Amino acid sequence: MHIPDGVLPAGVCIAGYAGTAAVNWFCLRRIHRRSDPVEGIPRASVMAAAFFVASWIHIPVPPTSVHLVLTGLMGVILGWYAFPAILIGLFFQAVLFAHGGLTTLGVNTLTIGLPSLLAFAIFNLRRRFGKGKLPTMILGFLAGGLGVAVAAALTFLVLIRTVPLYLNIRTELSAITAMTLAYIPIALVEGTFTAMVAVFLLKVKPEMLEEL
Amino acid sequence: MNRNSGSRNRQTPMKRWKTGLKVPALMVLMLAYAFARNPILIPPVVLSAVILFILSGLPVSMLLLRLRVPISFLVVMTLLLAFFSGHTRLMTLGPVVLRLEGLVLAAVILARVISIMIVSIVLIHTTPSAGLPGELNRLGIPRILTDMAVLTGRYIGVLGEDYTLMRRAMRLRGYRKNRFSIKGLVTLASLTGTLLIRGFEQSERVFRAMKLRGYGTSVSSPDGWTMRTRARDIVMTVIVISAAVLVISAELLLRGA
Repeated sequence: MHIPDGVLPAGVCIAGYAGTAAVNWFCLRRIHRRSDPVEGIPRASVMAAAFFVASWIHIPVPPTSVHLVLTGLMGVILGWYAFPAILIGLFFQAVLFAHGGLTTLGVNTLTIGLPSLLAFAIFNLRRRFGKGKLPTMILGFLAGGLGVAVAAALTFLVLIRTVPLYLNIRTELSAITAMTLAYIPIALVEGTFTAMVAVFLLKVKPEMLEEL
Repeated sequence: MNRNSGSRNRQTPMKRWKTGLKVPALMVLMLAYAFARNPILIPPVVLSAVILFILSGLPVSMLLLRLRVPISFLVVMTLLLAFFSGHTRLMTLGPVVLRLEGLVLAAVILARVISIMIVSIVLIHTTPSAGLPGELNRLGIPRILTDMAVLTGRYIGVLGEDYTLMRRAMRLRGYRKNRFSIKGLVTLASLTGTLLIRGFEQSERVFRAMKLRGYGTSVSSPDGWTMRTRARDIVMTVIVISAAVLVISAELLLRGA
């Protein structure tokens, strides 16, 4: 899901940085409305580190194994801090592991960070449906699953729209749909995993699920 | 001392270059490389990246190690382009056709990937991390982001070590990582939750201690970090920015021709 350096044209890389700067500015503005904006930094930093370490956690999905992305869990635990934390996590992945790249950092942050904000919005529905085990589990599953599925769809959309494959619109749409469908098992695993972690946190440290 | 650590400690022109000028200059150069689409521009692009790599004094093994990561993505991309991009047919291989334009485009993308990765390796491995947050603040990066980056850098190692230890303990208690089961997923979720809680509590303590020691009161650099801008810093910056401008101008001219 990480687009490496050199694949995208410069215009798309610059637009990615501009989009990331705009979304980041908006998130930071929401964060600065809090009485103590720096209070969330420790939690966001640990989650950014967890986002980085998640690429080491492989789950067997026969006939292969997949690694966790944690897009949904970032939104669930961090709220508005999720987008800047993903930016930091992707920066470290690009710098230390060459996963993604420095020129594509903006685009990758948008494709993975925006779904994390969607996950945050979904999980925030607990305010309406209650903060018990069942709503936490269902909304956690939706946040985690949709987080990965939307991130995959956005990544494929960027790749197909920018790499000149001379496909017609219908073929492009079928390719994006097919590639996103291939992510369904991963989205199911990630959704289940996010729901389980959310329920675990609800039992052990429920304040971690409160909006930052 | 081995050869690698020797090359890491050696003061090379790239390491002496002031961070506040080096980071934006090399980022502009990488974006200029990404702008290059014409095959004629690829040899000078690769050559300039190689020159920077030589000036950095970094070992070639470091470069080869990092190039291994995107290789699977690049193979898929090359195959897709070679068989689905372009109109000039080169060869028919069963149901698919090898196309000239796709092959050329794949070669251009491959060269761009290698050149940008070379420059990013030079940037990453010749920039000291100690004063980087302060320099990034001066470049307009919000303070909250650099604070998060500092703490994240600290916690990647801690979480990584905790994860390895807990994973080993799970395996000793009979957890089998190669078989999918809901029970296994529950165990992994509990492990992740425990890691997050431990990390979160630890990071809060560290952050409180940092604040008590005055962290966050001013954007100051550690002693000896803030370097004066020397003539050689300006020369290096001008050369690199000129190279970037040349690549972009040549690309625009060739597109117009």
